[in-house]
Amino acid sequence: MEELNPVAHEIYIEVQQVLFKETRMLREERWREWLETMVEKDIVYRAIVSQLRFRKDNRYTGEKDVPSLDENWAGLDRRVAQMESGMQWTTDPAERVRHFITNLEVFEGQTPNEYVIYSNCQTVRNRRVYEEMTYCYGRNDIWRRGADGKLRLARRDVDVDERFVSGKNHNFPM
Amino acid sequence: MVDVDSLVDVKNGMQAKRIFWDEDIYKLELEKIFGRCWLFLTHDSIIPNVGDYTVTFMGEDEVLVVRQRDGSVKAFLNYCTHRGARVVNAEAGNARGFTCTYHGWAFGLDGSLESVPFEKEVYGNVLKKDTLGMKEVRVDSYKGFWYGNFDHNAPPLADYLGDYRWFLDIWMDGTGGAELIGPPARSILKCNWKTPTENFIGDAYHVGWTHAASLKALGGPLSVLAGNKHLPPEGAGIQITSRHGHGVGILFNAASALMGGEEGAMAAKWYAENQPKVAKRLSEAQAKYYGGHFNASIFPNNSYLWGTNTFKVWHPRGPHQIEVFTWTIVEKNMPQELKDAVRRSMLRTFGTAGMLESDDSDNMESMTNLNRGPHIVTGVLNSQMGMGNEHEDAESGNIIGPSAIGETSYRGFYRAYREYLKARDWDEIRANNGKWKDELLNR
Repeated sequence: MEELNPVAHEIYIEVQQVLFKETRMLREERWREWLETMVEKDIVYRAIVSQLRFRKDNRYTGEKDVPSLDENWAGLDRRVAQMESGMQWTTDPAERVRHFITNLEVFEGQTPNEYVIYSNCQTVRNRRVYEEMTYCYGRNDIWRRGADGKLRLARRDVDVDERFVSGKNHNFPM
Repeated sequence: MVDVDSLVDVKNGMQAKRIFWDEDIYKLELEKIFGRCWLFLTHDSIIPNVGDYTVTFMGEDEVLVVRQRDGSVKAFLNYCTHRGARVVNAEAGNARGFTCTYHGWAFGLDGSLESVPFEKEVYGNVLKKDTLGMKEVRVDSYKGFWYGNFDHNAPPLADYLGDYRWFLDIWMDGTGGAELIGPPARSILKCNWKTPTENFIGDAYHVGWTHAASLKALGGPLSVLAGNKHLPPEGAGIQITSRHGHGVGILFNAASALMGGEEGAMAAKWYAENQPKVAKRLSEAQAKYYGGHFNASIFPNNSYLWGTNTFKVWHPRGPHQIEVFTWTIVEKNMPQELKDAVRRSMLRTFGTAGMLESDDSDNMESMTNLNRGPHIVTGVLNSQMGMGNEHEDAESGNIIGPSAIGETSYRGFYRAYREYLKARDWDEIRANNGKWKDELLNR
């Protein structure tokens, strides 16, 4: 793998603050604002679980990736529309979702206006009275700086650690 | 001792709520249903080559399914015949044999015990290796879909599917076959295994209400149902139940379902173009249903949606929990671009982050867990919609409910459920072959 160059400290801090702001926006259910202001139109947003295979097995031809999410901008837009419909009873009363983002590494991307961002995430999701669910995953992001100087999410690959979804589903901002 | 007759009232379309909760009923189900019905294992597309294997469940039993050297498929309980440790810890792969992690007993692709470390030195002549192969489970396939059965007296899979094949063939065979994509997604839901099975088998009623927000957001032919603004008109669909409890509901001309925009148009074009081919390959009558949206279950715990293209197994984990295996199904001959679009649509709707999947699981969990209350659990469940409107379908031999929304397939599922729980063995079930329709048709 090609060696990546870490960014300068001020950019590292800027990226960190943008990621924190993103999770707060999602936590506050500002879905449309998030999609319009923080997400690029050519977004690829994926969450992948891995099937368990023996290390030395290189003969099996089946796919190893188990996608949970594979969205483009239009798909994310439909998911936001679901929440905006006023009819989504599964999040009424509202769910509470809190992200913890750590092990943050920020590198220069392939073009001067792109950054490659690695992070570890733990997300705790509460719904109804008794359901508390915890999810652990890594995120490999690409964020792009626009002409207006703002950073927007261009690609997110969520690498999910658990093989099975213990917390019901992955239908929350990952 | 479970009083099975008190659990299901076929004539009046009711079931006791205890069927979603009681431990003794669950134990009886494991014995009488999961112990002798055909249970989905895998598809040809998952294990195409010699030595390919996959690990799954039959009820609560872990099973290893292996492609043999002669191209056939065998299945084994996934434990070592020495001290009972798991033999294969991967979920799928390709192997020349299987070695237990505990002491290194090694089994062949055909399950036979091939070698035992230091056999001569530590066992002498004691070990009868030819009796110590992995315990084999009976398997059978239909159109590339493999099922397993613990009961050697059960009918062959084709007979178990019976007249229901008339409907299966439409998508499993109509355009040259279907296949499953990828490893299954796996998720745990805290519900009884029958709550999703009955929902998929016969519940078009909830679609417009439970999924109102998703339907409104997604577009596609099913979106007109959002928020119960419209009832599907007379003649918009049918429901079917069959001899062994399998059922399907069809909403005509809705196969592109929840795919809007260009992708929806691409799917709709595929179904329209292929309808005449299905007519030629199968029959005009079957082609009439090709291009419709199917919601269905194969008894007991294998469900699928054709059009939204999800294929699921609800593995029981005690009476109050299931592990769901989810695949995408596509027609083999679809162009790759359409297969990719179908898969994305499936993930968006009924995948582990699906917009509709999460609606359903909330209902299924509360339907199960509220029964902890001693006053709630004594209640009854109602499935009376469309009662008295059914007739025998001359074309397929099944029972048909002549409207898009109704509970015909629920009633047929629970009729079969009671039959399995009551019967001593398959001979007793076979003896009912001539009269299974009577109670449902109230004659």
